[in-house]
Amino acid sequence: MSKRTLITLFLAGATIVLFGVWRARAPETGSTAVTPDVDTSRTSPTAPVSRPPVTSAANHPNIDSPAFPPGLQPGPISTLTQTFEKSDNLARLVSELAPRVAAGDTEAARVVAQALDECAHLSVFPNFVEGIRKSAEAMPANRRDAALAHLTRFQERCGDLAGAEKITPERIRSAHEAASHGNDLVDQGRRLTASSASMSASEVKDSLRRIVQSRNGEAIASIADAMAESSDDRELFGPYSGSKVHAMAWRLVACDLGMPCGPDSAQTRQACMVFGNCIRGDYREVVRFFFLSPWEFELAAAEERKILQEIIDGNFDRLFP
Amino acid sequence: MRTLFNGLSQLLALLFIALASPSALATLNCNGPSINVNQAPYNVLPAVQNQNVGAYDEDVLRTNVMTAVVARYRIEHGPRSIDPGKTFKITYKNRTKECGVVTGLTGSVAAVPIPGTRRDAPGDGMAVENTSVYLRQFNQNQANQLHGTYQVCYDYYSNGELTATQCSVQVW
Repeated sequence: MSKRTLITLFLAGATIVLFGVWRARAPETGSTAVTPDVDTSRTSPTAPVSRPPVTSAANHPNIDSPAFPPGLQPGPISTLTQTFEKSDNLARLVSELAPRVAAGDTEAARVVAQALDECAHLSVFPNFVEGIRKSAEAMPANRRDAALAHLTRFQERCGDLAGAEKITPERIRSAHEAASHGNDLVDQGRRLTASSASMSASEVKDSLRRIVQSRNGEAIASIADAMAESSDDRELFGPYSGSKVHAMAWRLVACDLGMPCGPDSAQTRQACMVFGNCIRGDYREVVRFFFLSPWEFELAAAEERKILQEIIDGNFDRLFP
Repeated sequence: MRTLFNGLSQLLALLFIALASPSALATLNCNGPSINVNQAPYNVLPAVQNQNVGAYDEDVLRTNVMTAVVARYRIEHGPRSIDPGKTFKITYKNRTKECGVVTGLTGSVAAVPIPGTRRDAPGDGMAVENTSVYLRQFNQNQANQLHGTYQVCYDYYSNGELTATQCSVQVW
């Protein structure tokens, strides 16, 4: 065999080997590996699928929980809110509250509006329950279990109410309207969040101090979104404001002070039924896993601790100077 | 060489589609964020994922989809990232689209469709105009922020030239 033939054979062999190596590597580089515990439903058809970080809330539900400052006394949560949270049948609750709403009880009206908000999707969308069930099938096992548990409770609470009437935008607006004439702290917080621009600086600060001083978790939750006002407004909303991280920190403070945020709370369930963000755990887990990045969550938890400490120390003028 | 050929043929195909279907060239500018429900995180919303709501479905369905989408947008971008009075464009699952206006910060009715802005999916209709939609005024009921009016204007363009402007007052 000539030297030239040997070189040709060697080059041909090398080409075949290199081609084989390239083919073997191609599936790894050309497509994305999908692992069974990845929630593929969260990704768009075109977006690359990635595994959640190993320190995610789904895997370690209790990791990084903030140290709860000692000496914190949560404020009162109204009986009506507790009744709403525990209700197994919101249609019955709405009907029981009807005379109070007619008599001008704005807190009762607020609970009716909350019930309609909670059940609206079930009333409006065809096959809503089947849709959630189908989505749950694509979730990792622990999240699927949470989704199905939320769904069962949702059907129990909303089945009759959604079946009795189509919950139209007009119906919801009129329910919220009946609730809007009150003057308790939750109403004040909502009004402040919706229209702080039309209030004077002293009105805003007085209102914020009053709400936070009350340690009423529900009222504090109602101002949480206002605390995301842009940094230009920090002077108005205090040093713990200016971004979505601050808004989330205030929501977590509201939870610490008694706002219902447990695994079976309306708020946690709504994250699953409205956003598809279902997870085993309480509202804090929802925020940690779905709403903030790990770094943002760390920042929010740090702000939460500082705010709680200011409340414990009674430094309301430092919160809203 | 082969890659070059593939790229060239794709480009030609796109060009053909664009020329053959005038609506593919039509644009709708809602002067606000564009939200495509086919993309994460909107594609997992229960109002979207296993539902088939499009721009030509009844108002109540579109209002529910818009409200859920706007609430999710706020989680991503911040609670005050899209306040009442802001407009946005929504592309539905079937790729029909329309403009919406934010009417509230909370609750299950916090965004509504803007009449006259529905558009077919690319390639479906014969609409050729480019439209820019914007609000001139947005008023909320001072007492409860639950009702209000807005003045919406539509600028129609053809070949880059403004051909007509229409304005109307809508109640929400």
